Amino acid sequence: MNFPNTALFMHSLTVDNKRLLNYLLRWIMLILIGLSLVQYLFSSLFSAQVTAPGLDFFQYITTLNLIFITVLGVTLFASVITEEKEVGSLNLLLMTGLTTFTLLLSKSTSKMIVGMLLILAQLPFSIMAVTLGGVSMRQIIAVYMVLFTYIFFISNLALFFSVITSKTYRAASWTFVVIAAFYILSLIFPLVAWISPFSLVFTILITGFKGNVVSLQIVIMWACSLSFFAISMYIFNYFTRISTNNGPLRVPLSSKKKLRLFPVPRTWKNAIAWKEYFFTSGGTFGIVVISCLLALVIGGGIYFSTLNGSPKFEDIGGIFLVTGGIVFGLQCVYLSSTIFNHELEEKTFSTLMMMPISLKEIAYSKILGGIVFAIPPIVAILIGLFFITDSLRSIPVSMQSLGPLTLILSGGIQFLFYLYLVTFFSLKIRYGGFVLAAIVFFIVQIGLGIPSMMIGMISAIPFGIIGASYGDIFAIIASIMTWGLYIFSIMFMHRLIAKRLKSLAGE
Amino acid sequence: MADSNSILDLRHLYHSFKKHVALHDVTFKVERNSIHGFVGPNGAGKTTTLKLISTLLKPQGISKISVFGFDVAKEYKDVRRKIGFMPDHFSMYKQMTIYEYLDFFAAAYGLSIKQRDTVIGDLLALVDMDGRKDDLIKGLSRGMQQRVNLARVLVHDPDLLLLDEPASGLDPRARIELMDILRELRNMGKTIFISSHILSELADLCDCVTILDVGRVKFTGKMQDLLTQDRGAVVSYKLVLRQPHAELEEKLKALPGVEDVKLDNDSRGFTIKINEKSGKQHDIMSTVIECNAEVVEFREETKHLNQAFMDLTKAGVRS
Repeated sequence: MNFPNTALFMHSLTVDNKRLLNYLLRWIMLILIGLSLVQYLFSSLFSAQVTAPGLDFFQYITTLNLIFITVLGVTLFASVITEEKEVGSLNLLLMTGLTTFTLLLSKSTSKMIVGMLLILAQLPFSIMAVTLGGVSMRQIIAVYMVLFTYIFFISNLALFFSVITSKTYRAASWTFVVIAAFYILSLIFPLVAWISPFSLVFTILITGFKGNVVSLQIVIMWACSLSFFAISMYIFNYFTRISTNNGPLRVPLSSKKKLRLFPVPRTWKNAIAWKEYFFTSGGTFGIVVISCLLALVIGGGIYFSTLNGSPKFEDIGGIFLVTGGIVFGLQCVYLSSTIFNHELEEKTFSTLMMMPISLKEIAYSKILGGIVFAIPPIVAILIGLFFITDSLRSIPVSMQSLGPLTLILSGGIQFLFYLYLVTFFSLKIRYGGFVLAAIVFFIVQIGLGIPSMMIGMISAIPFGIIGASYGDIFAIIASIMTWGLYIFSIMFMHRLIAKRLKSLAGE
Repeated sequence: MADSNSILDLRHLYHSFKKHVALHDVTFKVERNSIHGFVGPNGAGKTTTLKLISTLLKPQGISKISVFGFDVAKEYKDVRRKIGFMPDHFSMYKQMTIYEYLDFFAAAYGLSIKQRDTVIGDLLALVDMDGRKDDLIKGLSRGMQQRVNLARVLVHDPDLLLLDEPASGLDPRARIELMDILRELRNMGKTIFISSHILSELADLCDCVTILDVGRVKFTGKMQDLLTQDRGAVVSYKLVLRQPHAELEEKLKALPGVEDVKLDNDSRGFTIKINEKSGKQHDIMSTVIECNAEVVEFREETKHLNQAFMDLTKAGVRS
């Protein structure tokens, strides 16, 4: 029998199943689960301190799955409709007589099934957790219900952005922004935290859980997901008409100058920074939005801290520092993953490279134009530091006080290395470069940590003989070694990125 | 030593992408103030050549390209100032207005605000878009976008324009208008190196042509030389009369040097083949006048660029 309505679904399922990213994710999940299983098995056999290895193991793979689903939202699900728009095949699909409902359902369900199958494949490992002890079958079923609901929610959220945007990177960026905002808000607002799948899983995995498998939070998430689907369906025709048309919009007013809330000034002397600031990152409007969001989150945090009595200066400073730091970090990752991606997606990179400006100048100008958006979080960090100045002054100046400084420096160098990895992988794969970068970063961390520790230990021996504190000397040498290796890796990545960009310009 | 009249000199260009050899000993020159066509089937290596000239690819091995005497490999910044490259795809910052787009590129090339205002005004007038400078690029038709693209290429007043398939995807009107602009640019002293598949338009437009096939140059030189090559001593003339003439065919056949006369189906057109060495071509017209026949058209039949292209390039699927 021939079912025309399922043809698209079957095709999408086949294509999605063959994606390289899916294979990679499957293997990564398998390796991580396998390693953790071995670790918890050993813990249960040899450690008297571990009382519930099954629960610990299950908690680990559940957290891993929640992160994995979040990543899927930004990578796989966000391209549901935009991939058809980008290759210009959406109009052809619509001409086959498929209804909007069938089209959206077929496209989103196929990707959702790929994600669900990846989660479902871990069921035997999860049941093994019951054998290891500390977790009941009821808890496992309840957690799986949360995971599937979360996939459904993320998939529909990404579908919504995939419908309203024309490019996958835009859909992925918006999905990422909403998810990040949700988790930042959940740190401050208890109501948001209550609905968060992470806290829901935490509640389920409390020993002696007797609650409903289908909780109120799950019902709310289903309702939100269905709403996103319904809205996507409702607005589909309007946004498809705009974004699938590569030619001019046949609306008389649309070709006229856009009504901009903030006027765009004449091109700066640094033209690339100007373009990056006003046309890639969002311009003054973007800065205002980020500032307002930051103010809202920080204000909310301060408000909730006043509910438990008058907050201390350090608490307020902490809220400013944490929020500013998270937003700054996210912005840096976003900037690194999109710095050249927009040009490559829009095929404007070769035009840019034709200007009598070196690649280095282009890259630094682009960073300059994009990093302006970090001003609001940097201001928040500075305010936070101002609030905690007294606490910092109270720390006695000694070798120990250098510890946090060393930590900040190490963290900074490592974060810079991660950003380089993000930039490099964003030039290699279309979506999910930051995920691959995180995995490589994790592997490199182990790779660099072991040799620097060994060299540090060997180098510190002579100092131990002459009477200096062996531990301190070892720590200093190991730290310097690690920094040196990271700086070398950064320089190596720098060259790799330059090479890759030159090759992309000629493609 | 480069010929003083040639502004683009390609010598022994070899280029490969891993195992695939894209260019094999490509050597040719482009003369100053000419329109030089660059023709070849898909996969012939045209875009690779253009990217090498425009500094987007690095020449390999003994390949040597000089643009206005500057070495593409070593003096890429000087080369970029001298050339304007329009790639084969529509790559534009579509969220900008036309003015912002041109202003951005002008600023990137280091023009002052005053210079930018003058240049952009002139360019918009040249491409006939001065009334739409505040329109968003994404709202423009393909033809208009291509005009803006052309204006962008000219923003720093380059002497050599490299155009990769500039007419692809354009409707007939937009194509004709684009060709008119290119002629105007040639009259303004620019040299244009244009790659295209639309051979009929290239034949009318170009002074010189290079034909590339499977990474090798099959012909390079003047367009006229290409169209008249291999014709030998026998030249074909086309004669069309207003009314059929009963005796003319026989009279033409009797002329010295005439090897063949063919009458068209409508009995008004003649294809006359005459040996060029006989030097009796003018006798054809004398005979026609003697017969009191009213002439509509009389011209030498040359090979069409399509035919020349087909003769020089291989048929079939390319790897």
